[in-house]
Amino acid sequence: MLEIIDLHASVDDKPILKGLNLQIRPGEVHAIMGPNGSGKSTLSHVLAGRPGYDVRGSVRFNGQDLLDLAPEERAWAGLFLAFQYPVEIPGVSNTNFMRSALNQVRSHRGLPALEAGDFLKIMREKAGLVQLDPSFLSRPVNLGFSGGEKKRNEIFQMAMLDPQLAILDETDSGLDIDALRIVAEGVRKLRREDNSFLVITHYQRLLDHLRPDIVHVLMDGKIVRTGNDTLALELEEKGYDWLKAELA
Amino acid sequence: MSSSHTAPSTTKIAWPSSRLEAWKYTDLDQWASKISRNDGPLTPSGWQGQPHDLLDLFTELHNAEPLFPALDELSALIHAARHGGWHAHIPAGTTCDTPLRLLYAPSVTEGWSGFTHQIQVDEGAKLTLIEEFDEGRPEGNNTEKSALQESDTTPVEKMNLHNLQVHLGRGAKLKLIRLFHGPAAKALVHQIDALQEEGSKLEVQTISLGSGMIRNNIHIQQKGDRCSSTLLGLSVAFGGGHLDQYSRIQHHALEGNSHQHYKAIAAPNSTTIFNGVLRVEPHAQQTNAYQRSSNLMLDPVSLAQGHPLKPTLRSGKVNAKPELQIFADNVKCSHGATMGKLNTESIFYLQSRGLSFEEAQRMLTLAFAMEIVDQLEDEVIRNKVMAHLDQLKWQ
Ligand SMILES: Nc1ncnc2c1ncn2[C@@H]1O[C@H](COP(=O)(O)OP(=O)(O)OP(=O)(O)O)[C@@H](O)[C@H]1O
Ligand SMILES: [Mg+2]
Repeated sequence: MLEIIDLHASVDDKPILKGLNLQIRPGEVHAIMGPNGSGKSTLSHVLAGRPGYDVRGSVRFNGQDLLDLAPEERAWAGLFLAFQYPVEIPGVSNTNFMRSALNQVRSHRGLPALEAGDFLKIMREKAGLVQLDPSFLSRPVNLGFSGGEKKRNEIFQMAMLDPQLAILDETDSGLDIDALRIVAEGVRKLRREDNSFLVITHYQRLLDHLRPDIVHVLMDGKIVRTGNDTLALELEEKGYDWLKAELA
Repeated sequence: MSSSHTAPSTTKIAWPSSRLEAWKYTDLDQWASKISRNDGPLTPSGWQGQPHDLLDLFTELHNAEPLFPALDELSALIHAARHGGWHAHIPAGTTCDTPLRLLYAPSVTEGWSGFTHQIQVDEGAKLTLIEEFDEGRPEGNNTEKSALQESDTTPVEKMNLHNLQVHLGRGAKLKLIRLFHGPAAKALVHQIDALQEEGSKLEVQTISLGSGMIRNNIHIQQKGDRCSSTLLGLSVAFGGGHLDQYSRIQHHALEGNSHQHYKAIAAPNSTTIFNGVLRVEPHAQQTNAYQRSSNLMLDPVSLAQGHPLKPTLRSGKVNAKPELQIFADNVKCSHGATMGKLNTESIFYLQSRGLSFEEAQRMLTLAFAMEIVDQLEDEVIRNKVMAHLDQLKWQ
């Protein structure tokens, strides 16, 4: 589904990703862990098409050259990023935002626009999935939401847009214990044989819920270790220093 | 009536010079250079007033005296060269519950024409006046796109000058809600000269949408104590439009209040101007004045996304100039002017959910505008403005 080969990205001549390789097949859940500043969010941004990076290398997504697409085209193709820091948008209601977004995405996937009633039904259903209070739907996007509420809103949007590959960038940070369970439940319910997840996290707790198939460690712009979920446990226990030492 | 059309005269008019600070960004001489005065008669359909039982107000004013002597050269010029105008007099203690609606559809097809209007609201009287300068375009006629294209090629061929004199007696209240919508009106100069007596309240809400030139002057003199003036405005310039919002509020008396909030959006290739002069005279103690101007400049899609699709388009341009002249010591005055572009993080966030750049820009721009539109106190105007904005192509 996703194949990244020798990906480099820099900002103002400062290299951040330095030859990253990663492959994700349909149905898989991958986790990426790694120290602060190692380039995890940069990877997610580059994949989603955020402007401002100098990018080299190859990224294929379902056979398409991902790096060639505008951000919205990536969304149409089935990519979704749950932001580490979701953006507040005053004056635009969650509902309006999602109606436009969903209808755009649907039209590019060859589906008809939704009738108002059908849209509201889907919206309520997906909000229920992540137990997002319906009052949040009429509020401006993320404005004044607490940290945890923003993260829940990201997962709600993910559920609405039904992506093939969802990248969750530290969606677990800032969530209370119940919210973490709810979000993890939501993700589990959305799992299918034909969609995949790339979960960036610092903590074992979310992985306990999600049971990733593959765990990667990203350090200094590269994937330096790949393993199964015991790798995450090992990191949780010992930190990153042993790995750094081993690599040195 | 139109058969008695006379040839336009070529009288040279002394337009305000762009060397004057107040006219720094709008050179009327240049806008008017291709225009000669139209001496054709004004047909009675030049404006339409809703019949109003309380108001036997509208008279052709060709020869009427002004309410007060012209306060500056422009109003003197308009008055001297006027084709007509209307006069409204609300007697003391009269409350007009139904707003008065005026639709301007000037019949002049080319050249420039001047109008002087007068409103006198006597002691304790109350009126809401709603004016539409919409050039009488048919409802639901979606011509935004063509207006946008047209504006780049066709020269200004007519210009309408309006001077509205307002006199508010003690405790009088006047609300003015105006829509300047100018795809057809290539050039409009409007100037309010208002004198306020003690305890009077003036509210002016103005929406200017256009691909032509609009200069909107609001001059207010607070003569009596405890007056209040509340100005709200939104200018949206697109398709090469040039919208110049100028206000001058002068506090002459005690405990005056003025509150101004303007927003402006300059789409690619277009320009907006805000110039707000606030003058607090030495004896105008305990004045409370607030002025805010927020301005948004839109990038062409080509620039924002780094591919040279339409290399001829430039980003929208904004000039914002607050001018505070405060000569009293015990006053509360605050002002703020901001100008900026849409937040790129917000655009990317919307795009990452599947909205195109244009759609993201549209959504964020409308959100910016709605803060003002939501405050419009007339539903008819509000709905029209929303419909216009909804149809607008921001690129
Ligand atoms: N726009 C930028 N300009 C300059 N440096 C940047 C920019 N974006 C990222 N960086 C730097 O690149 C490095 C990687 O940042 P990134 O946000 O990808 O880290 P991360 O792995 O997500 O960290 P965290 O775990 O703290 O979220 C950091 O050192 C960061 O300061
Ligand atoms: Mg990060």
